[in-house]
Amino acid sequence: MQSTSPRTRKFSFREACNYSPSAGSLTPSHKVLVSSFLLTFMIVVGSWLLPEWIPAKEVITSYTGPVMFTAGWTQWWTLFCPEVRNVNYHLCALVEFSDGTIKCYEFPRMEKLDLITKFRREKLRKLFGDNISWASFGQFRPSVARFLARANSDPSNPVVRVTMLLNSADTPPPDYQHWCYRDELPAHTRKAILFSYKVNPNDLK
Amino acid sequence: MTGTIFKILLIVAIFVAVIGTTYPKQRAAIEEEKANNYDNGLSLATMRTLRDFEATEKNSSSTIDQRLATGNAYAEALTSQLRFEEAAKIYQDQLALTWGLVNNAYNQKWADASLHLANAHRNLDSQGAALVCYESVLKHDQQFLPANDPRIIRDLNNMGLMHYLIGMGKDEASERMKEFKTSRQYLEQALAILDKTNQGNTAKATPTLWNLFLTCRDLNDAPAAEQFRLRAQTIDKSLNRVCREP
Amino acid sequence: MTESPPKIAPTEAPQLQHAPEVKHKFIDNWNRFWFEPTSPVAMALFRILFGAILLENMLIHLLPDFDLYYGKNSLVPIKDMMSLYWHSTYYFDLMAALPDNDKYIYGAFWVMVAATFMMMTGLCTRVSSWVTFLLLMSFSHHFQLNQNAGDNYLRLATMCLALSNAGDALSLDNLLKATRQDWRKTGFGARLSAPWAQRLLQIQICIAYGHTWYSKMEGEKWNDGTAVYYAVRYDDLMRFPIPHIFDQLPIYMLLTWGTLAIEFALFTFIWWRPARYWVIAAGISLHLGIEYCMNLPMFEWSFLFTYLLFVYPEDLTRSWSWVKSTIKKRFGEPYKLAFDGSCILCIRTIGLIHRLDIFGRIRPLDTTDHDNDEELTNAKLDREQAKKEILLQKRDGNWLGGFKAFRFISLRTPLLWPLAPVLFVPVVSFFAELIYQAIAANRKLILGSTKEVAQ
Repeated sequence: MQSTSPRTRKFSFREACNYSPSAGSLTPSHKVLVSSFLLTFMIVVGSWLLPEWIPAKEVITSYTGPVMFTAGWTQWWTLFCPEVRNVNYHLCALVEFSDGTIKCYEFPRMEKLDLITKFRREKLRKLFGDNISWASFGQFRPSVARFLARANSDPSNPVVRVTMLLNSADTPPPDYQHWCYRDELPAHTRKAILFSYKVNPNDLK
Repeated sequence: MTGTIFKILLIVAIFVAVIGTTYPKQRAAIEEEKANNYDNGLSLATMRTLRDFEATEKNSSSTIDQRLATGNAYAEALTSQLRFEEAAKIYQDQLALTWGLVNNAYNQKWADASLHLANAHRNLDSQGAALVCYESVLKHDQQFLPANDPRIIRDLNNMGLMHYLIGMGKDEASERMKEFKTSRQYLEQALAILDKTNQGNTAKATPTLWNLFLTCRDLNDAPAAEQFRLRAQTIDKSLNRVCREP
Repeated sequence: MTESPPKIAPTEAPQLQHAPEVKHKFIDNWNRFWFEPTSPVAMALFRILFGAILLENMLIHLLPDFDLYYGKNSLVPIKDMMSLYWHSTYYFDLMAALPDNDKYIYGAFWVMVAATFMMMTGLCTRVSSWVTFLLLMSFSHHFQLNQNAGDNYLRLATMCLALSNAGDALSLDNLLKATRQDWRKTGFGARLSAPWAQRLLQIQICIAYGHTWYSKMEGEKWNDGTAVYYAVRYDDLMRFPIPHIFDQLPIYMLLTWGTLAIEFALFTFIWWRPARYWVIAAGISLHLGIEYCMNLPMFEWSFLFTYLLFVYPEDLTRSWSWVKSTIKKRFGEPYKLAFDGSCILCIRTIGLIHRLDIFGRIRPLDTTDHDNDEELTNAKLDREQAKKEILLQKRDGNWLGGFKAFRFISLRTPLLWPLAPVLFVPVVSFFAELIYQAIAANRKLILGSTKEVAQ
């Protein structure tokens, strides 16, 4: 496509179809400004993504990290890596009422949902499966328990305790003798209590 | 260039304004969290309840009610710390303490201790022991309470749930199904009493309905599961709670 | 035996002379890469497709559980998010700055949806994309627990869009500007400009591939070839079934190492022109494979759409020309549209029609251009009539005038299809005809002739 300098003659329709005006080159000071931004971005993001074994990473990110978080440049690209998990699991909560009745609440289980619901509500998988289920997000479990207590609140029979339970099963390793097809995975039979929260009356307000 | 600088300044100003407005709230939230930190609070509660529990136990003049109250408080704190074995030990002692309190009549204190012990065993993954405790409470309640008593509904519900949890832990599909079937029977008995006493569409019925939903779903009885789910959801919606489970 | 020439010891002087040259070359290359004006069409196409993904994210994935994530009684209230996740970091969250009321959060959400729609259609593109970016960032900081790598990418790509000139092509902005422009002076092509924001997004996707590749190389299962076996067995991510015939270890090993090879190529060989399209093809197959097996909405498509930015502008033009020629073969020659080149209103109208006619189904012919004389005479154009209104020749050779011509065009121009049914409503067509005739009759009084106004 042609791009020429300012011109005097008017284009015919055919000529106009093949012509693109140009905004021209940026001024040197503009280039310096943009280049500074680009370099900042690359240094900030680059340092964040450095391998953990690099000794200077912690020092560098103590300076670059705040810039990254504030500017919204936070990123990590470690889906399925470095290790692929070899366990399947789902989270339940046992909601205990003051009269001793217990309800089992199952957090949304993607494998039990139909394709469309699963697609629509994928963020719930991220929330409960990828985050709340793991110890690194354990600090949020009291909030989740309080939420469940309020979601089940009955003034005549309030919730007194919420216990979060992880049900899991290992994915069988690939073995020709005992091959486990993708649609024949074992049920989540192993249980582990992750958290048990005593509900206070204030939590229900 | 002036235009570009103006645009940059505008963006910076937006960031400064938003973060400047947010930061005091952030500081306040951090301070509040420091003051009410969950783990610290739990440790303090455990120490405090332990002190009360020990004091009551050492005091020969303390009543059974006092001993039960301090024991329960300490065991609750231990449960929140996931120290289920120690909690179970306390409830075990309470069971012995309350066993002979009432002769040939309803023994509320023993039933409560048994339920607590059942929950502790369940948390310890001693499913068989938990089931025995729940079952003994059910038998006791059925023996001394009217057939439609809410406590019997509770016991049937908990028995159903316990069988469901046991079933979930079975590797063999046939064993799972067997447990789920038993679970369904108990839960349906609980629901029948709820319906009979006109509580089938109240908040009292929702735990049983939700438990039934899970059991029927895992029994591959999708229509029944869907029916229980819809019924439970209708009740939940009618209660207009501030939060709704996803 | 001849004496070998004495070896000249390298001196420092030539090296010193060489250094500025290298520096100069680096700066030249840097400037060429980031700043050499190029077509914004690829970025504009990306803007449209990416806008659709953003809308999907907001309306399909966030809205159904909005209260759970962002409401006053959310799963993790903002107070807890601040104390347990933000700590002392300064996060940008517009909603946290607003009063603690759900109506503000819902308000912010619908503003974000509107801004995204405007960005996608290219209306006030610069402002709407900045609003989208700032609100998207606010929502991701307000509740961080439902955010995945795909959400990070959406945010970063929106920032690049906000910094780019993506609104300079295929946009309502461009269309509105065209109504005030004389295309005989500006041409029809999109304005070329420095592509640094597009390049930044290209670099960003390479960073993503580079980092994921390196992380995978550290994983035992990626090295022993079993990673894909395990990955497709995440039961919470499963989508469509894999037939047992393909559910075999050798295939998984091939896929595992193939993934590593493709991801490596996607941040290295993609910059080598002869390999670029092959690498992109491999990347497409990788992402479509994941899309088939796994339920990871948005993620694959946002990466796939970014590949558009790697298509060279001339190839984009060539591809579109191919589409047009295919349509021409299927539906016949474009319709001739005769207009009065001495009328600025006609010129602007033709400019608008041509920009909307993305498949090239209309061929404007200026009746004042002598190059068109023979063609127009052969087509039996009534030149007197052509001075009064635009005329369009149908397949049977007859000419349609004014409003009827425009209505005919609206049926053959997909971008005008939403308007077409309205134009066939009898009352509308009656008044539209009257208005068209009134404007056409007085157009030179309103805007003057080209000689008077278009200089």
